[in-house]
Amino acid sequence: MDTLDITALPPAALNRKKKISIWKKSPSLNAGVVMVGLVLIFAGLPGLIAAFSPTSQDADHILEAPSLAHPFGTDNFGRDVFARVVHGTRIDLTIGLLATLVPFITGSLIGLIAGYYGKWVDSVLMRILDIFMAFPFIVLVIAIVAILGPGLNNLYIAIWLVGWKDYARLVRSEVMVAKNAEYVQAAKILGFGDLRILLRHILPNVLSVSIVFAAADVVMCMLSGASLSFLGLGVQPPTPEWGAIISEGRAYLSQAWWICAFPGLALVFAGTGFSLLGDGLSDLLRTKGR
Amino acid sequence: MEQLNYILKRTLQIIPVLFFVTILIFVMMRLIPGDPASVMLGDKATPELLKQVQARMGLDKPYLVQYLIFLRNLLSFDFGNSLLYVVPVSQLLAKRIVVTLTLTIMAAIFVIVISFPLGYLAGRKKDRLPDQIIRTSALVALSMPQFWLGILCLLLFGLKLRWFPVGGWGSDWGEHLRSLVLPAFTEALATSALMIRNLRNNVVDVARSDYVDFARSKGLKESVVRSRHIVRNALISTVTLLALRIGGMLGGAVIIETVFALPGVGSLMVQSVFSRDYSVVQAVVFMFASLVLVVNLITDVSYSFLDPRVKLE
Amino acid sequence: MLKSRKSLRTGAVLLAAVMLVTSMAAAMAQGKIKSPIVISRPADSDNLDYVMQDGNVNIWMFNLTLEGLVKSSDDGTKIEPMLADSWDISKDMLTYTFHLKKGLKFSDGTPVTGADWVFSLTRARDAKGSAWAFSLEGIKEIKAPNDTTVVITLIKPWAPILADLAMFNASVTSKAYFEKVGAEGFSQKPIGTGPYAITEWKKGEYILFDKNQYYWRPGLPKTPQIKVTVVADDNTRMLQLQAGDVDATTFVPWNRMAELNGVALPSTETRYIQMNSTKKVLSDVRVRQALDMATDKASMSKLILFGYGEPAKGFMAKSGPFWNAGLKTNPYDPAKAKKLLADAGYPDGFDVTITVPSGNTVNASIATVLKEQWSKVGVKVTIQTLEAATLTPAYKRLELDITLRAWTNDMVDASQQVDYACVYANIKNFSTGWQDAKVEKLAADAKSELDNNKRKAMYYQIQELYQQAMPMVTLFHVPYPVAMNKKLKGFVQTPLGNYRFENLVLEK
Repeated sequence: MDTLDITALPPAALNRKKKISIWKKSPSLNAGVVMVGLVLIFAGLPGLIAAFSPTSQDADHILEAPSLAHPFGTDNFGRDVFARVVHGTRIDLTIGLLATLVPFITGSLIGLIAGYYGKWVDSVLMRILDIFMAFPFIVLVIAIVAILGPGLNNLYIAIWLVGWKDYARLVRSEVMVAKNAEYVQAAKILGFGDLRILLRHILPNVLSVSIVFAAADVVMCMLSGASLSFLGLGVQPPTPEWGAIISEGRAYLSQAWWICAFPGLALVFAGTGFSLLGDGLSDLLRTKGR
Repeated sequence: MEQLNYILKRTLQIIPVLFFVTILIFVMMRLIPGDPASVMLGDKATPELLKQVQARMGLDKPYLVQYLIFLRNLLSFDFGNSLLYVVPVSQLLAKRIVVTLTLTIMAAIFVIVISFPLGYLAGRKKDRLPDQIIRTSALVALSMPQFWLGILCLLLFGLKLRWFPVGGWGSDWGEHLRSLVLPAFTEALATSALMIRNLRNNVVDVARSDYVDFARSKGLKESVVRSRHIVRNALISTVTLLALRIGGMLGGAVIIETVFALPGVGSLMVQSVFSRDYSVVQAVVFMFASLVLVVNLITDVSYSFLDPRVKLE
Repeated sequence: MLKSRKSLRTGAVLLAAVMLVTSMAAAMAQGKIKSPIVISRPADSDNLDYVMQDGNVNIWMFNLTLEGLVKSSDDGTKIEPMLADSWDISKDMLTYTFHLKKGLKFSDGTPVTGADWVFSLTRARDAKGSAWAFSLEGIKEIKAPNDTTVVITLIKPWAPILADLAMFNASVTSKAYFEKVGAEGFSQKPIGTGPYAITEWKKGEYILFDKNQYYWRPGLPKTPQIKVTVVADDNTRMLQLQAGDVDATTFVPWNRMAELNGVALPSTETRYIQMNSTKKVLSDVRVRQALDMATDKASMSKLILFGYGEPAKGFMAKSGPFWNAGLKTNPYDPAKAKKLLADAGYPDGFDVTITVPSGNTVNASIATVLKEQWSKVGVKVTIQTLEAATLTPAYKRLELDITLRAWTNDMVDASQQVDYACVYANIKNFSTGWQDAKVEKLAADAKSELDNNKRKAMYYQIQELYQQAMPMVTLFHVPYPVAMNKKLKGFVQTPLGNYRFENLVLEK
């Protein structure tokens, strides 16, 4: 592997040509944009789409199966599940994006630095990461709820505190490979500075793994509302949020499958949209990076 | 030699990290409102009664003394007594670690069996039908909450088909393994979905990267190019991801354990945090930390085996 | 495609191996026959030392293994003889002489001696850190002149003494055994004269009870072995019942009762809205009364208990003694509530926070319904979820506005509940911060009043005064939801919650 392959440095013209073809050739990116766009419309104008209020109860119409009046049925308080799912969009979108974005940025940066500089920088950063990894999330969550109080904002803090470690380790492992790759070695020989090499040559190549993970992470963060609600973190009832609706509906799985199924479908839809978008973006980045 | 040195150095680095974890967990448990005596007594806790129970639990001692007792116990591989159950923590933990370890291993096998072939296939057939099907199914799998999937599995394979028991752990190893299949599958599915996505993109990435072109241009056989370059390179971040997930599973899968009524470490930890059973929480966190650190070490070392270009430093 | 084929092949082989192992295991498992009666519950016991523990997860199990001088009847209304056949009470009402059955033995085969009685009752009264010591604090001296006589002397006349002695903490255990295994060992495996003995306790999994070979009642217990398992997830617990893996399950979710042919057993459980009277808004009795009137309890009980509970009358347990059936309570009347709020200076209502423990679906549901109902009188509710161990100290320090509470009696007497609800020094009157000297004096007097009719009048009056002051809104009386195999007979749970399984049997 001592031979340097100078052709690994991409000519600019080729770069541009590839970029255009990606837009044309990437059905995933296009589909992703359309799906996320739809989610954004639901999030922006829930009142126009849903006829009922997401919180008003009706003791005479509980656990009703999907019908024309209630396309997604009603829940155990007689609330319209369709209205709850539609109104939940904005909250879930915010949770998914906010909870993912911060760890994505901080984690990727830490991984980049640790992987590239290696030696003691890597050791120190990775041992700090070890502490965060070795400390059970649940204990941290309970401590945060106890000290800062319950609610959605503190859910973000909990996820931000621990979410970065996945990105950091993923990016670091990629950087450790990439920094020994031919094109980086060549750039070093050509005398480029660390910053330029990191940002122009390594980052675009290693970031794709981070983006692909982040796209899936959006879904997992939306679900965390459901899995952490038993600790008091996440939205407080009766706020409609997909994870919380699923979590509340599980008691009625045998009687009213629709309470869980429709917010679940909404999650799948939004998740697919973000993942396609993520895949498309990472394709784009990879072509740009070389 | 270089590798041995590295392993030795990393092993030694585990000690300060563990030390820090013991301080962190000790301080955090005492910062959280509520103490084991008041949780145990609940509403009936009059101030006098509270003092008596606290004294019985050894909570009347200064914090520093309590911490030193904890450290001393750790060094003698004894975790002390559970404050709530009044039995040695090691006795509570021993069996649960077996459950969690077996579950994790089985889930990891499922993950590998499901995701490696599918991820590789999707990457090789990028944007074609197999890729689309695999990616979409992975997304659906990812978006399914575990408790929901778990109940569906129990309903179908437990109640209707009777292939597997409806939760529980059984009484011999045959029953143990049988009762772990559904939870391990449920646990594995979301991780598999993540891994499939990761692996697919890595395969796509590496397959069209310059060194693969270069390897081909050197006239290497296609099969060699694939096994030596594509698979190995694609595996690096995938192994990282798997290790991260295994690390998480070792801490106990609380939801899985609850849904499948498994006596694992996770539910013990959550219960103990809820009941503020300091000695159990401290012991579980210490065990978990040690396991995670070892997994991390193995992962880091495995990089250099997977890709000789990665230098251990 | 070499590599991919290879990895696919490896995958298939691994998968096949897993399948093989598990199907073999399945075949092995089918050869087994289920022998014990299996009963599941959502949470495990934590400490079985009946004097030192606290919590229904422990208390409700004690009647399987432990017995005392007297017991509460199965319907929870009166005191019946247990190990004592009869008793004499001195004229000054200070000395109780119990005449015991002859030839009693513990489940380890050793005879019950007078020394065991003195040891057990003394420990129950004096143990430091026992949450139940209060029940025997009226006892001056415990003596056993011989192995079949126990003499108890009181400090002063004490009306609930027999009810106190019927509680689990006044059970008899073997002094020799206790000294042999020590307090820690005892908390794992207490022994008594009850129909069953604990043979195995796997924490968080199950407790195995085996028939007590030396049980004094001939022909009992009817079933040789009972296994009480723990399955925290409601759905899974119900699935196991449907699959026939368990014979009975407790704490059936209310919405599943009809589907599973559940039975609602009479209980002393009552649910409340606990209002913090030290908060400015809630310190006004008109506001508290208004909140009571603004709560549509009938509709709520339909939504949450699916018709299995009933709106409560007064704060005391309906199945317990001295419950005032004729108590006048507020009807649901939002218009009057609004007027009362206006009188109190809140014509537009006010903001209030209801804090519920996380993971408690019933309480979360109650709060959700309250938010909707109270909004009709202008009261804006914010719901806040807190982990229980964080929530309890907060409401005990009177930091929260409103919390929700459930209560079950532990004894066949009103005094325990009244002490907690009306005597401030105990627990700030269920952490409401409300105080009333008149009610407190009545509560104290009722405990030493020996005339049953006078006692009854006192407790009735306490309930009326409590209703007027309204420190808590009483929501409903809630039964115990149990579902079981149709062939299971003899399942007894008393209104106090105690399980009694000596007649439990699975019919062929």
